[in-house]
Amino acid sequence: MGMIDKDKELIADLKTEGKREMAFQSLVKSYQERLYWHIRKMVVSHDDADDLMQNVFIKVWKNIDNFREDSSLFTWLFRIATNESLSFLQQKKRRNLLSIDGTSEYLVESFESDAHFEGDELQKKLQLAVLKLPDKQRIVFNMKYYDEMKYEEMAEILNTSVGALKASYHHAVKKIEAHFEGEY
Amino acid sequence: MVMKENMKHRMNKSELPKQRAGYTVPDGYFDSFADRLEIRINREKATPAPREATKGWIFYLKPALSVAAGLALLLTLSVFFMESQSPTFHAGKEPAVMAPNGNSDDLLPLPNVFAYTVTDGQFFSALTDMEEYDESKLSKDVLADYLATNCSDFEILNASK
Repeated sequence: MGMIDKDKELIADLKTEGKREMAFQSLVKSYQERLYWHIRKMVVSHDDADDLMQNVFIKVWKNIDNFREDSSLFTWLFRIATNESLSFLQQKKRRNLLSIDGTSEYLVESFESDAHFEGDELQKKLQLAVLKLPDKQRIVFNMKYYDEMKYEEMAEILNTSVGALKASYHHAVKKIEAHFEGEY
Repeated sequence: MVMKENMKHRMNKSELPKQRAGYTVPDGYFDSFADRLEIRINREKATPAPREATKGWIFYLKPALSVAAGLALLLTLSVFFMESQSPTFHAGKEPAVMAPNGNSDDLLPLPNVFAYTVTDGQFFSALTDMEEYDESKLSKDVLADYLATNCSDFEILNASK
């Protein structure tokens, strides 16, 4: 049985009353780590990432009957996770009356106070540069550089064009290079 | 379809160390996550949705209350309009006019011509009396009485000039 067929079976079980709970546990086990790292790199704090991942799976639990399977389960989950994370950052920005660059300030503060970071100096410097990027460029950079996704996959998740993603990634890389050279 | 297969292939690959970007999680985090999630889902199932919980009897009566409020407003406005058309409406009120010197601060009260209440019957009988009015019956004494009651000396002197 291929992976697509397995996903279809999983979705069918999720939509069946008697099989739903078992199928949901299987879904969580399969996707939790990928989703967690995707969210964590967006919001930095482990506690925030944990809350958001729970929210994502609860949304999946509540809305699985409305999932029309126009996209793959993987794409649907990542889209929910991305939207939840972006909404969370927007709320933070509004509540703290942060400026346009306010998200970066908040994330850098979270990063510096986060007990769950064990990267070396180079990783730390790279993270600080990434956290200073605008939200969308940061998501694109994370998905391309860290998660090694293809542009086509990213375009499907982020509902945008491959060209726009390539441009965003290019700008992000230039800014990170400038950061390393002390200009940004 | 090929792209979806690639995605699934990637999902099954062992986790990329680079993906963590130096971040870590507390020990056993992923092992316990599903259990903690289940607890939260069960808690949400047990708790009614906030919107449903706040739906009291007022929520269901809201349309009826709106209609009732609208009717009450309409009724109030109708009564007010009808009363404002009645001669008794101005009874007891003293509308003011500008003082002869033009000073708006010195407002004078108008003579209170409706200082008594008139029923509809009295009003129509008064009209009938006017129709049967005979000028010959208007004696000087009656005229003097009327002027003394309704006009000030100032007005009488001005009218006689």
